[in-house]
Amino acid sequence: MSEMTTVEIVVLGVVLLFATHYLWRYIKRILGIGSSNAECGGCNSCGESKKICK
Amino acid sequence: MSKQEKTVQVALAGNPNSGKTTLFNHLTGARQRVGNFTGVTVTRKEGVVSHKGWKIKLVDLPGTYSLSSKTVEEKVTREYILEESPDLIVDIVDAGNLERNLFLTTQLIEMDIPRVIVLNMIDEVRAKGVVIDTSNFSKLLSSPVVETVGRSGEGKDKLLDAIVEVAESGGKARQIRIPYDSHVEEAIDRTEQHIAKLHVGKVEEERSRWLALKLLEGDSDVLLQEGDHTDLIEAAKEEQFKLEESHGEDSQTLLADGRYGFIHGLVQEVESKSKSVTTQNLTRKIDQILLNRLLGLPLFLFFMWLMFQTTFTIGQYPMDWIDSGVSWFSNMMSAALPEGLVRDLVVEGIIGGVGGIVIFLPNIVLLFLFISFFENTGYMARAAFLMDHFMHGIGLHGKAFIPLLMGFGCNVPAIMAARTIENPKDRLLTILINPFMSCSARLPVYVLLAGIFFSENAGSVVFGLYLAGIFVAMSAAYIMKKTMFKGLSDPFVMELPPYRIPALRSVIIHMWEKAVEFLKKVSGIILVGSIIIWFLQAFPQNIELSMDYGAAQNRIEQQMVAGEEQTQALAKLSNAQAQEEQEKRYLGQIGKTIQPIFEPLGFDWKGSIALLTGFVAKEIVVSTFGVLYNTGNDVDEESVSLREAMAGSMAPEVALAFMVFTLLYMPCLATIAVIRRETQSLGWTMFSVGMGLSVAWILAWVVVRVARVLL
Repeated sequence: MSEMTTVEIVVLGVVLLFATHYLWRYIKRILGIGSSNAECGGCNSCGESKKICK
Repeated sequence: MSKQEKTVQVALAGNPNSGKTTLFNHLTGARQRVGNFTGVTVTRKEGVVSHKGWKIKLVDLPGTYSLSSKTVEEKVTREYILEESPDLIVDIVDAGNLERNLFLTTQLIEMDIPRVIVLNMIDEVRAKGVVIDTSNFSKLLSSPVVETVGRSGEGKDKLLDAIVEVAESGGKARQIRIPYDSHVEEAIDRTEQHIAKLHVGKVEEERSRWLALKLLEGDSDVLLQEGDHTDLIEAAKEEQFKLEESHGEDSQTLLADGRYGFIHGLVQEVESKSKSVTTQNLTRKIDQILLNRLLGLPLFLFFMWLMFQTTFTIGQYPMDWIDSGVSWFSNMMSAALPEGLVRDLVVEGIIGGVGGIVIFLPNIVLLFLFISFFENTGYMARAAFLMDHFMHGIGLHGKAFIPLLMGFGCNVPAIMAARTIENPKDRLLTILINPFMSCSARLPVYVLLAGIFFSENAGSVVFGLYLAGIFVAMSAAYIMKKTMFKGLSDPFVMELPPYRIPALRSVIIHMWEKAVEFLKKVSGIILVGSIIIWFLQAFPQNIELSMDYGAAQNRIEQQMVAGEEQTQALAKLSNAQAQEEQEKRYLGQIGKTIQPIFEPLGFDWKGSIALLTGFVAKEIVVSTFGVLYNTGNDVDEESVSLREAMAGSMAPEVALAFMVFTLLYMPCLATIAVIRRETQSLGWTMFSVGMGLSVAWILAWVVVRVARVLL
């Protein structure tokens, strides 16, 4: 297996950071952790505007 | 009435489906404010309209059949009327269902609130050849009566005129009294005398009669409110007991009889049929077939079968086009990007994962086309009506079938729809069985596997899975009702709205919304899920393999003569290397750890890990396959579709068991969260997850064994 280049490390690092951050936000949103979207059901039916869950 | 400012506070009340909200939208246009009624998740819409120098503030109350305090909607409506005291009520009545809709009107009359009665959807009544004498109606009820057509806005100005007329008059009108049986009237009198003693000079005559009626009905809220006056409650209970003993019926029925008697008389006075209409209307004719005792259920099953068959067969064409597009894009990116991990991430992770699921967009859109059609024509209500008998058999009411049907779309709003079920036990039970109803997120898994392993009968297999979901939900409900949730359900009149030709525009909007919703999910959590899955299957990079594959490749090339045999040997070696590499990476290690749980069901580690990741969102099951089977192929070669890559990856009976497991196992994270929120109990949430997993494992185990013999 060849060694990873610096460019690969940077690109993959950024992508992984974005993905884990998004996943964490998604889980927080649907579990109602934090205040901003605590009412969201996470089903996307409302286009994330809380219309259904409210 | 705030006459100085010339402002009038108006509340719109009416039965569900009476066209109340449509009329509200016509009256207020875009000048609306949407919020919640205090403390409950019932939408409160407010709007303002100016007319003839009056500022009319409108509040759209929730649709309700009566003003008892059994449902959230009834409570909210009643509390609003009692506590916020609107200047007048606009009572929206479905003119085509006068007798049922006027029940609420009688209760509003008993509360003695200034009112305007709206005969909505009057066009449908006219089409049936029925004539309503609105002038006589108005005299009999001592309130203005206005004819409207909610859809077109016809009669809107007359309604505003009537509101202003009542506002100008200060709400003074002749008092109407609903007459009851003489024994009931005597009981009301005696209870009123008790009230007068307790609240000397504080309770107006009509409010006192209303309070007496509520006490005789045994209304829980009023009993609570008067809780300090034990003498009054005792006296009311005694009157209630006497009435029930002398009439052999409970007091609620006696009072309802009185109201319906009044309504029946009123309708006889004001409604007449023109000579031309002697035949039954179209709705009745269609219902004679669709709700027929013998034909109704087979027809319902046929429509469901047709829905899945069409979803699969017609959906196949655009699905193939998108699939080809994804393959082309994958090849293009593969050629454009330099070899390395970034290319692997783009081609195997992102395109493999997202492309694997996005091809099912046509199937999802078609499924929602059917659901939207059934809802808009009025057939969905019939489906619930047909299931009423079965629902009673398991101890639930047919009304509980509506949230279950909604589960075909998504379990999250379906579980929230269970709020309409008044009985807390029934509501909890409906929530718990809802995840067994196959949501649209599971459809791609079925379409993928049924298409590969049962291509001849794929539509029927998908239909069978949906039926299996209903069957398991019903069986689970039956068992729970017999054990944990004993007790009778509340009686409820099931509504059958008239058949309507759905507006093409609203069906298209519904499909479009669902397509956008699906694509948003694909570009959100599914994309992210695919990326994380790719990382887990690409790392660690430095792994120790069981043999030196490079050396083995050299040996084959040196020792074997170039030809088909050598190519096969090299391909076999390459596959073995790819397999070993996958198994030694993080994803493979997790998969191998959990695989023993699924071993008896015949699932390999890839299937096991797909089920695990599907916990976040069910579509990720397919994305995981997309990433895993894409990685197994050499991306330098012509990329193959997921369906081609997965062919032969499992036996047909295992594929069937996998679909059954996907159908029944624990709900996705969003559903678990909504179960927790709606039940307000971690215990019931864990129970739901545990029940799903156990039922799924047991039934998949049975399926794999039975199917092995049969297939």
